[in-house]
Amino acid sequence: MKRYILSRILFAIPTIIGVFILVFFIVRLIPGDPAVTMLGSNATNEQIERYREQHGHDKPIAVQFGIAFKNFLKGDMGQSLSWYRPVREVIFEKLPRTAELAFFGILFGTLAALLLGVTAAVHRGRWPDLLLTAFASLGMSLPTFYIGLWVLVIFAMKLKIIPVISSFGSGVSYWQSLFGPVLTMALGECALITRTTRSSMLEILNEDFIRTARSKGLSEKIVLYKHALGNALIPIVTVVGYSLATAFGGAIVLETVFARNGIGKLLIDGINVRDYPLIQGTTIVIAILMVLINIITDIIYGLVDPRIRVGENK
Amino acid sequence: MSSQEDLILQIQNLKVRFPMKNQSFVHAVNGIDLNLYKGDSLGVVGESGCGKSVTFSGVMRLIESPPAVIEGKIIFNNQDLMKLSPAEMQKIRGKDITMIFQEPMTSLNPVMRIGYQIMETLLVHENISKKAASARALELLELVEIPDAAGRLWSYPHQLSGGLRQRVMIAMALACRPKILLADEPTTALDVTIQAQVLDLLKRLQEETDMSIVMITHDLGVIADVAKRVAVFYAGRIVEKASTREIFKNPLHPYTVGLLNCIPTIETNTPRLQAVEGNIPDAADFPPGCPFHPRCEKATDICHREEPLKTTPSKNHQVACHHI
Amino acid sequence: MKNMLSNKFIAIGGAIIVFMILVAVFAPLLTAYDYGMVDLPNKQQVPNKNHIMGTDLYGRDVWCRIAYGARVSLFVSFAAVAIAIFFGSILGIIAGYLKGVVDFTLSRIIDIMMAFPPLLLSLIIGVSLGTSIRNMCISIGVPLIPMFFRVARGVTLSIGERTYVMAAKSMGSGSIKIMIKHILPNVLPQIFVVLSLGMGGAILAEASLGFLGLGIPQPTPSWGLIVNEGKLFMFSAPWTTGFSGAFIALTVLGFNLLGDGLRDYLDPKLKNLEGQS
Repeated sequence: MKRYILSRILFAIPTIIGVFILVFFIVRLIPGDPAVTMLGSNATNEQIERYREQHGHDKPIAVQFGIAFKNFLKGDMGQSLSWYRPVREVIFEKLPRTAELAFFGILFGTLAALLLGVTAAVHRGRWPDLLLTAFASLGMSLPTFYIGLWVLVIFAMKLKIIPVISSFGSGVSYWQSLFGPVLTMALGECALITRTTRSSMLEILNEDFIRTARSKGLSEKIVLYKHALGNALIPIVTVVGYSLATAFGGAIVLETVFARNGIGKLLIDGINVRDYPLIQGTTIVIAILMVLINIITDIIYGLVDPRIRVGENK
Repeated sequence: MSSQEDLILQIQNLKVRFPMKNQSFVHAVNGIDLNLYKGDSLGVVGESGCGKSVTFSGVMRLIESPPAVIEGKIIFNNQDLMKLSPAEMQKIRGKDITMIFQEPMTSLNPVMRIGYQIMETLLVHENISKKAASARALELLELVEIPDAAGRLWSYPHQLSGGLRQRVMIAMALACRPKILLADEPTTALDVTIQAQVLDLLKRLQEETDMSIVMITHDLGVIADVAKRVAVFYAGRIVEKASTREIFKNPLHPYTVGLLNCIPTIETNTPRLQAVEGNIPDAADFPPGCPFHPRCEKATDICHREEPLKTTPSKNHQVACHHI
Repeated sequence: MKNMLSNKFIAIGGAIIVFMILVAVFAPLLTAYDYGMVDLPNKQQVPNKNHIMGTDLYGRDVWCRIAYGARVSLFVSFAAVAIAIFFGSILGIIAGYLKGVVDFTLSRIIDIMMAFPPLLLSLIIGVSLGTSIRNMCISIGVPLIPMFFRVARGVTLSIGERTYVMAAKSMGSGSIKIMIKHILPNVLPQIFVVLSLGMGGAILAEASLGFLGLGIPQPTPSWGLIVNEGKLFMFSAPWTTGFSGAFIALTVLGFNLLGDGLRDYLDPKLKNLEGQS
């Protein structure tokens, strides 16, 4: 198991370096000049020259990359052009808003999906299964923003139980601010995980050890939720991990829908004002988070499956 | 031996059929009558698809119904198991009647430690503490002769060989000192040497307790080794039923004769390969009359028309054939 | 073919896709308006008999814009998937066939691409290239490359060891010839299944980018753009975004169903499992 974890981490290091390289160059391609963005369009050539010199933009791109990478390793992601503060500071201020959205969205989505997926598998081919399969297919086809907009229409406009702007403070409680985006994310993710749970359960329920569990006189509840789901969880872990990892990407859309101040909205705002260091910083942080979540998923996968955790010793 | 008060399980006219897509049915079991006595060891023999496994899965009520249609009575302890609620059946299953299966490699839950899987049975059926249950689980592993039982109690199934896993299955089946153990081809998937060990173990355990055992197999060698009585299954029916000794000495049904001819004997130097010709009939489309007639050398007109009744040529010997 | 249509998923999914393609092709015949025609006196009308899906902020007919939008959205998605298939399957076959250092390097590059949520990658590529229809195809297509790469590589690895490939090798066939003649025909059916799922993903990506205001620019109506134009009026005039979103969802559903159906159809192992149940 130690070797397994170590290998996952080792494989992630080149990926993270690659992510940095890719983002660095893609962001350099963005049309426009940071100096102009910063100083305004009526800045003199001299001012622009001086700005470039100060920020090392006059140096060859390879040198710029070297400096940026060195700074990145030290945790310095530059100065935000629109926030006039270090990018790192701004990102870490917003990150918790996105993290709690992703966490609760995936948590509730997964819990509901386990229940629905098991129900569908148990009633395979009959109406609860057909209904749930239809729900899952539909849920996977609806764009996140679309679900989000209808959640707003229903809960903010008609029922008036959540704010239109889901940032807490000024009369909006923590849970009220989370309700809309979390519900939307949970609905979307629930669909995919329900499907995985269903197909995984169907496969497991055909296994011999399920017959053994029944023959022991265990109640159907224990057979389903302990013996079958216990095994079905192995593939589910992968899908939940994937969902959590991509949730930070989904947050870009959700935070825009609900006007929630997380890193997703931070990125979009950054793009709109051409705040290059901020775009670069948020993109890298989201990608690194995704890599880290994938490592954790792999580790949990190993923990859930004793065949990986303990290994063979016949 | 078979007095009425020793009778513990009675299967009466059991029928099981499974619906197919085109509205027709697969008739897996077609009217089985079978008695099991205290301390009995009954061999059930037949080709695959003859309904032997389905019959005893039916006894355990492990067949999902619906879709399957199950008729008949299964009397145990003066109650008809078919009429019990799922909750009542759960109390009998794994406690009074237990079952072990053909596939030891896949019959244990891969994500649970074997000790826990044994304890689980005890905790469900007996009012017993976790600590006592784990002590008993260890005893059971020792009883089924697993070497280094204490070291293996908390192993996962994938860490054990097939033979050891089958022993774990047996330990689990014996956990609550069952009255009946149904062993469905318990040695088929094992190596020959391991087969003999597992059979010896089952034989010893059966002799030491008053447990009844049903050995379901396609291998008459296994029957000769462990069973006192034999029921020969064909197309979801019992075609012949007698003591093991009688079956081997004086087989009456042409199908039993055919099966016996499949076993290479020591007396004849040339292995006799005179197997039973042909295939078992399609359970969705049985021939009329005696189901064995398409493969039977002795078949005459009547065999095509009428299903033979059971006759009793001698005490404790029953056969269903027109030509006795 | 008949056999294939007996799969419910393929039949329903296929029907939805055919419907959408017909809408796109016959858009001029299906609508009485010009998609760009501004008619301010009739702005934001609720759906009525003149405008079955209402009008938008500028009084333009929503149904007309959706029908023309189908052209743009379907085209962009298809072009994006084509880009992804081209690069994904070529690189995947090369990686799976040559193995070793080439495979390792390509796989790590794909790992890097997969380290981004697909939408994020589309977003920054789109922003850096600048918004145009061509660039939108690229930015939506690139994040889909790993999907096709993995399928192509997996299939190639599994058949690379088969006897006929070995035989062709031993007879001195060139690598490129073997890849085209023996491996590609095995890879394509699997690619076909993923294609359908990829199309669903591309439609969603186009819509999401459009929603964020970073999609296909004016004036060409794409579904993403229509959604974006209506989103601010979701409370007062929900039909613009409501109908365009529904068309997006229906199309994605069609592609997903088709993909699921094709997978079941082409993978008998999975089909048997479902059939048992």
